[in-house]
Amino acid sequence: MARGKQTCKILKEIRRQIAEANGIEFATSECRYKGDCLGTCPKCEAEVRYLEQQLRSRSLAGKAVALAGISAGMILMSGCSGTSTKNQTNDDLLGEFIESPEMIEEIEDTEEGEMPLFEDSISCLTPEINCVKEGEISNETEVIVTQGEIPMEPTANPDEEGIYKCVEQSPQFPGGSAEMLRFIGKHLEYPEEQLKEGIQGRVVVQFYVDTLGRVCEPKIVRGKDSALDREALRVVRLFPNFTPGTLNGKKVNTYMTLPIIFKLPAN
Amino acid sequence: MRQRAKIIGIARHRLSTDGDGVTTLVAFHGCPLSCRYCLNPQSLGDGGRFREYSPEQLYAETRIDELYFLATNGGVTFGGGEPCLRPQFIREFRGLCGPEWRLNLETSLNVPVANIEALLPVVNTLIIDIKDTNPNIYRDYTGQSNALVLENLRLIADAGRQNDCIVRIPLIPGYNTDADRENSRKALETFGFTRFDLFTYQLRKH
Repeated sequence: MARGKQTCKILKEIRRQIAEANGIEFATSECRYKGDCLGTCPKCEAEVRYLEQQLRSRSLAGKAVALAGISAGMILMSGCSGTSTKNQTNDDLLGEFIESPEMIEEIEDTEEGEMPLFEDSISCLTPEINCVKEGEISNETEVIVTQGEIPMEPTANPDEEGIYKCVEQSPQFPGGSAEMLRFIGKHLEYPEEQLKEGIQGRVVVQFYVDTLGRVCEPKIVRGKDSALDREALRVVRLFPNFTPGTLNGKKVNTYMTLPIIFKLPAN
Repeated sequence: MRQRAKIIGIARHRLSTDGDGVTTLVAFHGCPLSCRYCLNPQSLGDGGRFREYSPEQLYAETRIDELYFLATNGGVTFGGGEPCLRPQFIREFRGLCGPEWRLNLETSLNVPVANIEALLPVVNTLIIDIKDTNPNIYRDYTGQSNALVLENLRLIADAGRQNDCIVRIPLIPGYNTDADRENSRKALETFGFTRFDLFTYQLRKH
């Protein structure tokens, strides 16, 4: 799922909980903003203003207002997003960079229409096989936003090496994303020492799929521990060829990012 | 004196990325370091990619998300660049937003001790990028001494605020090793710090 849309979903859930905790009648609706979702849109902002106004009138009437205590972390985890660790939420579910209030006004001027989305077909799968893993792939390289980093605008143009970040059809693992998760589950081995020492976490690998479908130049874009990093890279190097990504009907080189979670067994 | 600060970007709705809850990242221009793998290189130099804000203007712009901040125990995270170069600005901001917003800093701590002294009473969390505690590695990577960093760590420890800190100990490709990080961690533990974030720096082309 696109990052902005995921953010939108979580913020919506926070609004719903605020309304519920305060007995405010609240019916949210589907966003109809046309364009890339920034995590918020004029309709979402209007819902926030509505809640603020309701809360204000409640406190003016001497009623208690219940606000604190909604955990964004809990909402992140309970969402159908394939997330399970704090680290993962760190990287995936981020709001978009809005530079100034003028940008919000621009959004209001756009016409209504359906929200085009990158649908992530595997977002609801959370396989955990033998104390490891969970993977979620995305070709939106810009989703890897790091703590403290101000995200730059995504570009529709290829980089200097002719590799695209945004395409119409993302590269596909043979058999689909679920098959890829099974593949990772089958081949990923927890490094012994890290297992013993209780080191777990998330490693994010980036690679590009060339026009022949080959997985090229995998590298760590967010590492955890050098042994976990190496293991994640080893498995990505075993990947069979993908169906290449396409843009305007033409096969193009496309970046992919793949988080791989190393999770210790419950016992 | 009326405070104004150069700000390179404001990113809303960051969910548990830069501190708890829903946060807005406010990134200042300017930094005493010049790190090879700087995340926000636009914070350095005079590229002109910033806007000037007064604390009032920044408060007016970030207040739009107050409901989310209050509901999720979130708030504003000051990053950059180096936010601790602007203690008065942040103190004034705290005065405007009141005590309920969480204010976090993402800092290298490589600033005068007086700055940290001024900031400690008004911030909730410090996310400290320590680079490496070894002075030689630190100088190689940042171009600066880490003497101030160590002094500020001591200040935080003396104030008993270690538990409000998350210390990031990066693996800096080409500059340090896992063994160096272990040494950094041990040195930090002697100050009483317990919350660490071990990660690997991203390599970028600049």
